Amino acid sequence: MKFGALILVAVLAAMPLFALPNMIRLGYPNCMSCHVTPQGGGLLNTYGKGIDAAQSWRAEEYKPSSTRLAEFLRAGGRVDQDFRVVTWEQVNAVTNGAMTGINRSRFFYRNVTTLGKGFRISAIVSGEPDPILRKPKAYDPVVRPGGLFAASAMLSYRPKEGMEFAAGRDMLPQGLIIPDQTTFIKARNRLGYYDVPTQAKAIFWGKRWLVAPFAFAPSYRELRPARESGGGFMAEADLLGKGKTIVGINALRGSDHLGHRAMTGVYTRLGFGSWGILAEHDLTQRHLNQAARFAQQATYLQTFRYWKEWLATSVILERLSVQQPYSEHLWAYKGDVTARLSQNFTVSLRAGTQRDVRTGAFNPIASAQLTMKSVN
Amino acid sequence: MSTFRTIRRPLPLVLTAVALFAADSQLPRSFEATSGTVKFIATTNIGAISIHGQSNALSGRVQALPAGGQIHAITVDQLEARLDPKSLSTGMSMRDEHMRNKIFMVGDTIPELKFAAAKIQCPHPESAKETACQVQGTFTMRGISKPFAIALKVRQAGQGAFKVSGEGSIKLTAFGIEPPCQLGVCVTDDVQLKLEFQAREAHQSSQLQGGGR
Repeated sequence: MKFGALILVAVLAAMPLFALPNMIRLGYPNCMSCHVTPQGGGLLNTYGKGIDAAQSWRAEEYKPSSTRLAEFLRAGGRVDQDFRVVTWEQVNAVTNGAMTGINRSRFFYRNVTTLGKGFRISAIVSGEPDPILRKPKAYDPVVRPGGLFAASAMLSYRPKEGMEFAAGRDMLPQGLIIPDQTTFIKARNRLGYYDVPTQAKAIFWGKRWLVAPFAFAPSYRELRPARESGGGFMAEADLLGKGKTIVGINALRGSDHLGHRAMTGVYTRLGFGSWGILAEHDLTQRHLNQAARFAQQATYLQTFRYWKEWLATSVILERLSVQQPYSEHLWAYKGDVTARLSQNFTVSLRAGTQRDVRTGAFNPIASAQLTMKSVN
Repeated sequence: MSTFRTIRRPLPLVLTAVALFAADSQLPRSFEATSGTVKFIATTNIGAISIHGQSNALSGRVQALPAGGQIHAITVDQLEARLDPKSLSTGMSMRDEHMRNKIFMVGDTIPELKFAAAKIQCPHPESAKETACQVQGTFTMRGISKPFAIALKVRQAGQGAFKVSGEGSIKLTAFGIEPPCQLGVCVTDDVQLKLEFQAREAHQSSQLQGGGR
C-alpha cells in the first residue's frame, strides 16, 4: 500500500498549467515567445494565444474579444487575465490491493497588470477543496497550503528587450517547465507546484542563450524546518541556432533548519519535426545536520510525437535513486495522449506504472484530465 | 546552343537541367535531382521567434554538357528550378495558410516559384571534397522576377552523383510583398533560403533532348 499511496499523491499533483517545452519542435527555443514572463508559465501573450488557438483541433483564429465587458476587464490593454479549471478522474491500483478511484478539481485565476515603463505585476491564485501533497520525507517536509494558494505574486521590471528583473513569490527558474509536477526531477528537488519561495531573479537572454541567476528565501508557507534560503542559476544555449537544440544547466544551493542541499542538473530540449525529446539529469547532494550525507539522482526522459498539431503522445521514463540512510530506487514508466480540442478545452489521458527496485512492487495508475480555461 | 528542355512534373518543385558534369565526355548526360529539400528562415521583430519552413518535395533533372576540354570544371548550361509554394510547411497549418495568403497569393492564384540561371561554370569537386560555386540567376515570385544569387556547394556522392546545397536570401519588398505581421509579431524583410538535393545520373540523356512535351 505504501508505494501505491506514493503514486496516488504524485500523479494527483500533476497540473497542465505551464508552458509546453514541446514547442521546441517548431523552433521555439524558450518560453518568452508565447508567455508574458520569460521564465514561462502563467498567462500567454497575444501571440501565444494565437499559437494556442491555431494548434487546436478547431484551428481557430485568435481574436481578442471586443465585448464591452472584455474591454472593461482589459482596462485599456493594461490588464490580462484568465480563469482556468482542471478536473480529473484517476484510477490507482496497488500490488495485491484494491483499485481506488478519485475525482478532483482545481481552479486558477491568473492576472498580469502592466504598470508602464517596463513594470508589471502578475499573480496566480489557485483554489481546491483538498490540497494535493507529495509524500513527505524526513529531509523534505512538504508545504501545506490552504484551500486558496498564491502560486505566484511577482513584480517585474524589463528595462529593455533581453533583460528582466523580478521579485516576489514564484517557482524557481528551471530548464524543463513540464506540466507534470510529480516527476522525480521536480517533486524531489522542491520544484513542485507548492514550492514557490520568496525570490529575486534576473533573466538575461539573447537570440541563442538565456541566463537566470536567482536568490531565494522562505515563503513562510513552508513548515518551519523546511524554510530554506539559497541561490542558484540556470543557463542554456541553442547549440545549432535553429531553436531546436537547447542544452542547459541548473544549479542551486540551499540551507534550511534540517541541513544543506546542492543540486546540479543538466537538461536538453530537442525538436525534430513532429518529434521531440526532453531530458534532464539532476544530482542532489544533501548534508543533514545530524551528520547524514547522501546523494540523490533523478533522471527524466520524454519522447513525444505530434500526430496532428492538436494531438500528441508521449512516452516518459524516469529514474530515482537515493543513497542510504534514505535509500530508494524507483523507476517510472508513463505514456500519455493529449488532445487540444480548442483554445478553451484540453483532454489528457495518462497511464503508467512505478516500480520499486528494492521490493519489486509495481503500481499501475491511470488518469483522465479535462482542462477548461477562459480566453479574452 | 542549348540542349535544355523543361520537364514538367506534377511534383511541387522541379529542378530542371542543372548541368553539373565533369567534362570527361563530349556527350550530354542527364542527372536527376531527388530527395531534396528547400528551407527558409524568416526572422521577426521578436528575437526569440523565427519562422522555419520547409518543402521536401524537391526533384528535378540535370543536364550535363561538355566543358570544352576543361576536365576540372563543371558546366551548368541552364538551370531552372520550380516550387509550388503550397508545398512549403512551417509545421503549423494556420500559419501556412497565412503565409500562402499574405506572401504568395496573387488574386485567386498562387503562382509557382521559379529560379533560372544559365552558362555557369564551377570547379569540379574532387572525390569527397566540396567545391563552391556562386550562381547568378533570376528568381520569380508572385510573377515578379528579380536577380538572385545563390552560393552552391557541390560534392561528389559516388559514381555519377552529386550532392548540392546552397544558400541565399531574398527581400520580400523586392517582390511587392509587405512583410506580414500576426498578433504583434512581424516578419523581417530578409528571408534566408537553403536548398539541398542529390543529383544522380539518369538512364538516358536523350529523353531530355528528344522527349518531353
